[in-house]
Amino acid sequence: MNKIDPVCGMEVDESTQYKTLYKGKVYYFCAANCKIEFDKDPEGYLKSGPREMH
Amino acid sequence: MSEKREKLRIVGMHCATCVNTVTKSIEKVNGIKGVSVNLATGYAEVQGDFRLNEVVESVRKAGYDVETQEIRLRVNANPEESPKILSAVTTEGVISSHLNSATGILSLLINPQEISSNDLVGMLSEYGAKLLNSDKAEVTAIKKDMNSMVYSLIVASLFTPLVLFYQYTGNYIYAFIFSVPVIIYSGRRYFRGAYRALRNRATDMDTLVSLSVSTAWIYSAINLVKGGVVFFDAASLLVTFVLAGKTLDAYLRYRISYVHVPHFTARLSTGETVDADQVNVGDIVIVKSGEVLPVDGVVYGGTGEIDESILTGESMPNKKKKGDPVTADSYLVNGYLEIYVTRSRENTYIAQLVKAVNDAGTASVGIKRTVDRIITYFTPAIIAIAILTFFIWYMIVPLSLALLFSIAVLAVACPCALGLATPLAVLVQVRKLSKKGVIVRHGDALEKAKHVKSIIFDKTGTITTGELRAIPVTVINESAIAMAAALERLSSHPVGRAISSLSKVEMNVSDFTEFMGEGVMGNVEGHSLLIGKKDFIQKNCDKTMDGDIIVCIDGNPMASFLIEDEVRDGVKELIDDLKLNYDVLIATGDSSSFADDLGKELGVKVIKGLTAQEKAELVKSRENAMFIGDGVNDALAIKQAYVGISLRSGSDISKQAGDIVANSLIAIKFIIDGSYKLESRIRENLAWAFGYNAILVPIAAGILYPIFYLPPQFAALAMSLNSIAVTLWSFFRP
Repeated sequence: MNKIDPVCGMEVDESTQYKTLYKGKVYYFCAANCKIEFDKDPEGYLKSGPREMH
Repeated sequence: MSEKREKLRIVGMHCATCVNTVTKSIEKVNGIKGVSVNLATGYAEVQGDFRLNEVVESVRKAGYDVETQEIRLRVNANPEESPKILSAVTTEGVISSHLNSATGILSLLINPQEISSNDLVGMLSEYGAKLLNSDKAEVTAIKKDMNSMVYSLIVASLFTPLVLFYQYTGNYIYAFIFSVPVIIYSGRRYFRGAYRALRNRATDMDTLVSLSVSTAWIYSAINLVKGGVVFFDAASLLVTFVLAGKTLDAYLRYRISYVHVPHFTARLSTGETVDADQVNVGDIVIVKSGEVLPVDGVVYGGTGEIDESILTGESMPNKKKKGDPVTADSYLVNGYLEIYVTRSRENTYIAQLVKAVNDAGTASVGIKRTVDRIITYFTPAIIAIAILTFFIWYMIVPLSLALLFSIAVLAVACPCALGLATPLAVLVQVRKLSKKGVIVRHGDALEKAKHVKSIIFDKTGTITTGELRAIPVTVINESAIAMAAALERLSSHPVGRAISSLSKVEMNVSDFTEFMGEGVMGNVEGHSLLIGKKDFIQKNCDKTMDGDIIVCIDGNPMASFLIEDEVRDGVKELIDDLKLNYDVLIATGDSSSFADDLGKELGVKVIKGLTAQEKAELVKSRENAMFIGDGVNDALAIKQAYVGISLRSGSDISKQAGDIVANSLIAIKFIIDGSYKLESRIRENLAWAFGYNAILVPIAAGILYPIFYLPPQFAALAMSLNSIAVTLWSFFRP
């Protein structure tokens, strides 16, 4: 099933190795860099949505 | 440099975040005026006055890759020509170029979007260099070149005695006739070389030899008509001696400096015996007691004891049974093995090692660049000295004698020894280290090792064996350990393996999810379990407890573990020794208390809890830092280090980062020692090469005349013997 990367807004497959658990919910990322960005400010991304989209 | 525009293919970009990261990484490079990165096509267009290698490096440090292509060409040229050849290939699209003047191997790293290997071959052909681009063609060509030298030498050796006989018996016409094949046939390679150098506005050994031969010969031919002194003997002997010396030198250098992949046959399970090169992945090869393994693979049947000292330096044989990996070129002491081939011969460890050793000599170590600049001025200076010698002596002695002095100056000067001094020294040290299990991929890293100020070690798998143990510290609910063990059984992470070994109780596990570098989650017997590092638990379980790894069941911490690791043998002694001269640190991603205890035990500072990126930044922040770590997981820090060393895990060295790949920690001492030796050997070789020229050029110019006089033919002999001496001294010095 596809999920949305909270950092860049891309669709990501659930089978990705780039994921994290935050407050009991799993978030999926397209690549390591998005996960690093999310870990820096999870609340920010969850409140304002994907930032890096152009 | 001038402003340029280059297109690069970036590998590993997924989204807009990646585009930002790549753009920022390129913008950081000096001289960049504009960057545009396209996610859809995967291309980056870079504009400005920049160095391409810095762009590639910066993108790689940001965690992405740039498509590059490695090209190896063998260039047939004199050692002193290397600066010219390197400048001929310094063009857009070339990331780096190294030329080993001892073996003639030119290694280029290019951006295939801007230039192709055909373009480069074209540019080099235009320069006049003969090129070969495969190892087999290379060996054939070296042999062909050597054969042509031998034929030339045979002709010269047959006709020169006749020239001498007629010259000394006063039959100058016959002396002239018999000197023609010597000069024209045997000497043609020097005239051709001189012409090529001239076309490229350069001068080299060929220029000096052909100038001296042609001056002597043409002057004699004119005097034959006009009536005067002739020296067909000197001209012919000059060619013969130079050829004899150079043929021997080429042979020696080929035999000694070129490491060959040993040739083997393999016995297949079908009963057929084939050349080891013909074995394919998936074949079954049979090895009997006392035989050498021809391929890399996995034991498929049988058992045996294998001596792997060629890989590990450890001569105690290891027992191998079904499923164990085995490596080519190790030796089956006793037993019988059926081996399932996993890697073809050309990709075996030993083949990669040979390639690495052959390539390492192409490094352009700092001092070589200085020497290369000197070489550029060397031959013009010799020609000037020869002209000056002629005019000075012309005022004192007859014209013919003055001419002989100046010919002797041209014949005695030896730029080759200068060109060979550095690469031969690098080659010898790299080969010596390879025998101790250290693979030097970039010779310049070896030169840099002596300037290292701090040494940073990775912990897990480097200082320690990496075989972790989990020790329960707080246990609220006894069943938590069994539940954690059951869940971790599904993980392949070393911490997971350590926890799973604590209990063998079978439980129902579902919904297992692993979060890389953080922890695992799943349902065990209907309970929701979360196992992970403290901050991971804190984020998701609200509460936490002391320990390295916490087990949270249904939202409550129920147990915690300390994670410990075993220190490798000999580490304490090594670190105590290194601490005397270096600032020693341990950098680890592990945030457990074991890391602190380890630091106390070894007496070094430990910086813990670092991500791969933070490790790399730490390494970068230290001046001249050497980093030693696992070649796969610590690739980033290894690349950032002034000297990056990876400890070999497995036999595929091509997948590992690092300028140097070592098989044990003790190798650090060999590397540092090798670095000091390299410097002293380069100095010795250069002192020899400069000393030789400084002493013999004035003697040839007649400074000791009439007490001692060096005729041109013996000057030429001394010149060619000098190259041989540098080669032999480099390889056989005690």
